[in-house]
Formats: sequence, C-alpha cells, structure tokens
Amino acid sequence: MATITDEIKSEVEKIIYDFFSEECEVEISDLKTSTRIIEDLDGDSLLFVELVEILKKKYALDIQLQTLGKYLIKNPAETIGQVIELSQLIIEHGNGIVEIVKR
Amino acid sequence: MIEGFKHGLASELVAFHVQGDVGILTIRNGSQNTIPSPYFLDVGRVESWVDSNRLKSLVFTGFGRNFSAGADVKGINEAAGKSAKLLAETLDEGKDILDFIAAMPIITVAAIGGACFGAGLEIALACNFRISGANALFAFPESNIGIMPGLGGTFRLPALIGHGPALEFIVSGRVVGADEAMKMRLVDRVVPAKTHLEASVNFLEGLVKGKDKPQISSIIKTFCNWQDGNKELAMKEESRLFAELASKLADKNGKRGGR
Repeated sequence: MATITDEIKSEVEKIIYDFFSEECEVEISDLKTSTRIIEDLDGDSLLFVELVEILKKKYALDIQLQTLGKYLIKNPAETIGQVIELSQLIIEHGNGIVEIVKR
Repeated sequence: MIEGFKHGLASELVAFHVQGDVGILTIRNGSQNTIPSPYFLDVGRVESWVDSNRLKSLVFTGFGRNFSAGADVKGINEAAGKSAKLLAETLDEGKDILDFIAAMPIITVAAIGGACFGAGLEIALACNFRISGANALFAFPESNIGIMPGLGGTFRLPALIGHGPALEFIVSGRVVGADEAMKMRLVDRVVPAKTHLEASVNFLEGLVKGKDKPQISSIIKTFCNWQDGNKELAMKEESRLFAELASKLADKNGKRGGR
C-alpha cells in the first residue's frame, strides 16, 4: 500500500477537474464535487476508463480494470467527488482496492 | 434470421462527408458509437459514393469523443441465445464488410480518439493506416466476458503486430493507451488529443497529392493480392498493372510506338 501525501491528493484533484473540464467541454469553475458525471456532464463509463489510464501512467499504478469493475459494482462513483476519492484509493491500494470495505 | 442483429441500421449508423478530396465515414451511435450489428456499413452505398465523388482516400472515424466502444454485447447475447449457427453466419457476412474495407482501391485511415475497443478496433484494423489521438485507448475486451474477437481481430492483429504480442493483447483483454499502441505498432502515428481527424485528413491529402486514382488502386491491389497469400497472382498482377500504368504514361508523353 502506497502512502498518499496531501500534495498528491491536491494533484489528483487538479488532474480530475482538468480532465472533466477538457473532455466534457465545461469550465472548471462550473464543476463541483457534487457534479454528476452522467447526468450533468453527459459523460459515460469510458471517461472513467480514460481517466484511470492517465493515472496509471502518471503514478505507475498496478490496477486492472476488471478489479476496479468489481469495486465499482459495490461502490459506484457517480460524482466528481466520488471519482476523486476513488482515484486516491487506487493510488494508495492499486489492485488491493477490491479488499477495501467502504464505510 | 436474427432480426435486429442481422439487419443493423447500416444506413443510419454511418454518416458520409467529403472534405476536399478526402471522404469521411463517421460511425455515430450514442456516446460510445457501439456497433449494433456486423452489418454496420452498406458497402454498395460506399462504393457508389466513392466512385461518384472520385475519392482517392477515405477516413473512418467516430462521432464525438470515441471511435467505437465495440459491439453491442446485449445484441450478441440475444443473437447467440436464438441461434449460434446464424450468429456465426452473420459474423461471416460482417467479415465480408471488413474485407471490403481492407480491399478498397483507395487509401484508408482510421482516425481514432477515445475508446477503440472490440469490433471498433477490428474496423480500424481493416484500414490501411491508424492515426491515434493521444487520449485514445485500445482493447479487445471480449476475453474479459468469456468470448473472443469475431470480426477478424484474431488474424488482422497478428498480421500487423506479430503473433506473440497479438495473442497476449487479445487473451489479456487489457487496455493500452496511444503511446503503448504506437510502440506495439498497432497505430502508425499519435497526434495531440482531439486532432486525430484533422491529422488524418492532412496526412491523406499529402499522400495522394499528384497521384492519380489508377496508380493508387494498382498499388493497393497488388498489396492485397500478396496479403491474400496468392503469390503467383500477386506477381503477375504487379507486372500487368505496372505495364498498364507505364503504357498510359507513354501515351501521355507521346512515346507510343517505340523510338
């Protein structure tokens, strides 16, 4: 399990806001943690796949999409806030994410 | 007959545009451009459209963010549940469409952004070139749901990138980004995100500029003959087509009839 610093947390948050702003053609100022990816941004699950690939590359992560899929069935990430939280968990736990029981 | 699956809405699924001398076929089906049926393209319409516009090159692309996320899995499940035999026949006919694309007598490019998965990737593999945006993702996710590529991926991919890498890519079902796809030689070039269509059109305009259509079609025809494994035919056809082009050139230069 990797330790995630406050600096990396902020960096991840910025990556995610930049990503959704760019891909969904929305101003960053219009995005909030409560913004829903499918309903509010007209996004889809492929956006998340693309985001995970960006994070994998940047942080040299070992995470399989199938593993992530298993986690997401129980813990869906529907808002930007939830995607940020999930991304930080991916960086911390990699494939071990599936063992996490969300409180 | 597998209704719905067999008769995909080919005419509505792909939009036709011409930009300069380049034809553009755009897959358009929801945000992921899924392929609802192997009959995704009306080849007769494509043939007449290419001829009537005197096109020398063609781009396949996807509308919006993604090239194509692949086949509609629900449709496959329903079709397989009705008749595995008819599903196999439908896939065979779908392969004929991709063979048609691969053998088109013009230069073809798949301009890829976002997801290029499964059947979408098989369409891209049928093109002569693949130009990828930096944000593109490639995969044959079929292995992850207990099936396999069914529209030529198992032979077009190894032919392009080699047996071992293709087998690993298909069996693992893993997703690769544009940079890795470039290293694997799955794509021919990577351009900045969202510029893949513009880059493809520019590439084709530059490539075919000053070349006439018979010259291009002759080159492609000989390539296809060799790839089909008929070496004798390929060699004879190359000689015949070379002689035809040279003869036309001699006519043009006033050299007909010898010295």
